[in-house]
Amino acid sequence: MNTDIDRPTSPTTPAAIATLDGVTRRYGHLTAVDSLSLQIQPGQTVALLGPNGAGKTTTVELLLGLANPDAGVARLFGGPPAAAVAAGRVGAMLQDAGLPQWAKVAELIGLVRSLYPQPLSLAEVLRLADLEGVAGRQVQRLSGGQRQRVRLALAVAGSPQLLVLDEPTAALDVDARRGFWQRVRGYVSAGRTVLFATHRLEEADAVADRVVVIAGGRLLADGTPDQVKAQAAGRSTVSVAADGLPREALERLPAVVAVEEDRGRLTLSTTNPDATVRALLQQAPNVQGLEVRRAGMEEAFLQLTHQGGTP
Amino acid sequence: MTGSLAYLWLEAKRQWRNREILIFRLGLPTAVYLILNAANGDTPPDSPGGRMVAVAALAAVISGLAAGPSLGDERANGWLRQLRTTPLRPSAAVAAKIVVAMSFALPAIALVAAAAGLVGDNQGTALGWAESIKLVGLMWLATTPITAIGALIGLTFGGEAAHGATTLAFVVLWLAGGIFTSPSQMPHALGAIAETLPSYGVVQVGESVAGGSSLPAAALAVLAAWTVGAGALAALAWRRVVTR
Repeated sequence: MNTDIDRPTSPTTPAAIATLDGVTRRYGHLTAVDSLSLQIQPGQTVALLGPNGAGKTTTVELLLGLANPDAGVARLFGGPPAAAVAAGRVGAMLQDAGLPQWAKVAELIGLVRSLYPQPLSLAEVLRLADLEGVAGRQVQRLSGGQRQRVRLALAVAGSPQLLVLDEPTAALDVDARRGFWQRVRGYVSAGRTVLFATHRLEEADAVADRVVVIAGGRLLADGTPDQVKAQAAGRSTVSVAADGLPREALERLPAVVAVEEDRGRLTLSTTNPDATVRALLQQAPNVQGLEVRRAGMEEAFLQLTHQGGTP
Repeated sequence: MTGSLAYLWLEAKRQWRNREILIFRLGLPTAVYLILNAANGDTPPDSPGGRMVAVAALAAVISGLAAGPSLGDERANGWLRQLRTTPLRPSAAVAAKIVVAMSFALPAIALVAAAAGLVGDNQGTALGWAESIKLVGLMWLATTPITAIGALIGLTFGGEAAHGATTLAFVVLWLAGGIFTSPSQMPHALGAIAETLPSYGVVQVGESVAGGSSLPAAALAVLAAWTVGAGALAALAWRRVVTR
């Protein structure tokens, strides 16, 4: 199998590693995933971003073949998910998955290594997951952070082409989270593909090169972190002291969607604060009290999920 | 296949290194035998080697049902789901539990037989080496349906419910399963039930070897029926677990 991702596989679209095609999954009256379509290309680091209950875990389960769609098709590497899993092309870290008591860290990693065709070496896995000091320890004697690293180790031990992580840092503090993503980056730099589910906006922004936002089981936005932020239109604001500035002219500035006046200040809502400020300074070089508030991922996200989550 | 063996090996190492498991599955039955033997030494036997066979059957039940809580816990805590994201064949997890349960049942039964040989079973049986080995081996094989019941429980109930169901099964087999009270000495209806339980099959297999008679066909039929029945139900439960 040629894994060179530069090789043209088809003239139009490169072969997707993971595909959801109009997938729906219901649990009783709850529609966890609702006609979701998604393609993940080789080498991407994709964040599946959404609030709790958005359908992230179900989406992950559908892709891994742990749940079957009620409608639509899930494919991994062009075939049924179970086949890709059986072939050792996927490694996963499920949310809150337990570890068997009394097993030693190195034994668990050794087990997973024995299951995959071309695993990483034990030493590599231990180093990557920062477990060198506890390789001989039984899992029930590990701290929460160490357990989480063991679960990462089990996900990467087989050197899978696709790494799927469901809320991998939920139980970690800020430092541990940073260390975790450093380790994942170390793994991914070899051209592998990562899909991770998260409800942490800053995490999606910082780690992913593509963000897929879902809520209520439906796709709300899909693009680079910047594109997703831009999609949450009008959330960045540029404000200046009014000082007799012509309000109508400001409304015509690039990317401006609305202008409000309040207590001597004009506030411009813009989808592109850079462009707005550049044009503003050309028209009125002497503006006073310029303030730019960029829409954080959080605002973008809240706005998006609000629009789509509650129709 | 190598993956399944690797999983079996890890599962065996994991359970065999746990001191509490060793005490409960291996030490407890032996201790029960020694205590009963010391307390009732002069009581005439119900059947040849009856006390040893009864306690060995108890050991078989304890070890045989062990797959239940173990599978239930790992289903509840998500470990089995984690395994399903790897190339390991899903059935390997269940097979490993059954084989490891059997790996405890053999020494558990053998220890009771060894204790009986060492202190002398006061019920008038002194089995030779060959007979003792035959007794242990056949009682061990007869444990198979009990491990199937254990797997069925673990695949039907998750977490705490699996522990509860295992305890219930243990109490039923212990009290109503013809282990310490022969079905003939039970109230009629209860005795009829006892004769259909696999624990009594294990007892009958042991008694037939200890008494030098041939294996009772009725017991073999009961054991075979439980193996097939519990095994088939476990397979059905397994399908439900795998495809959700």
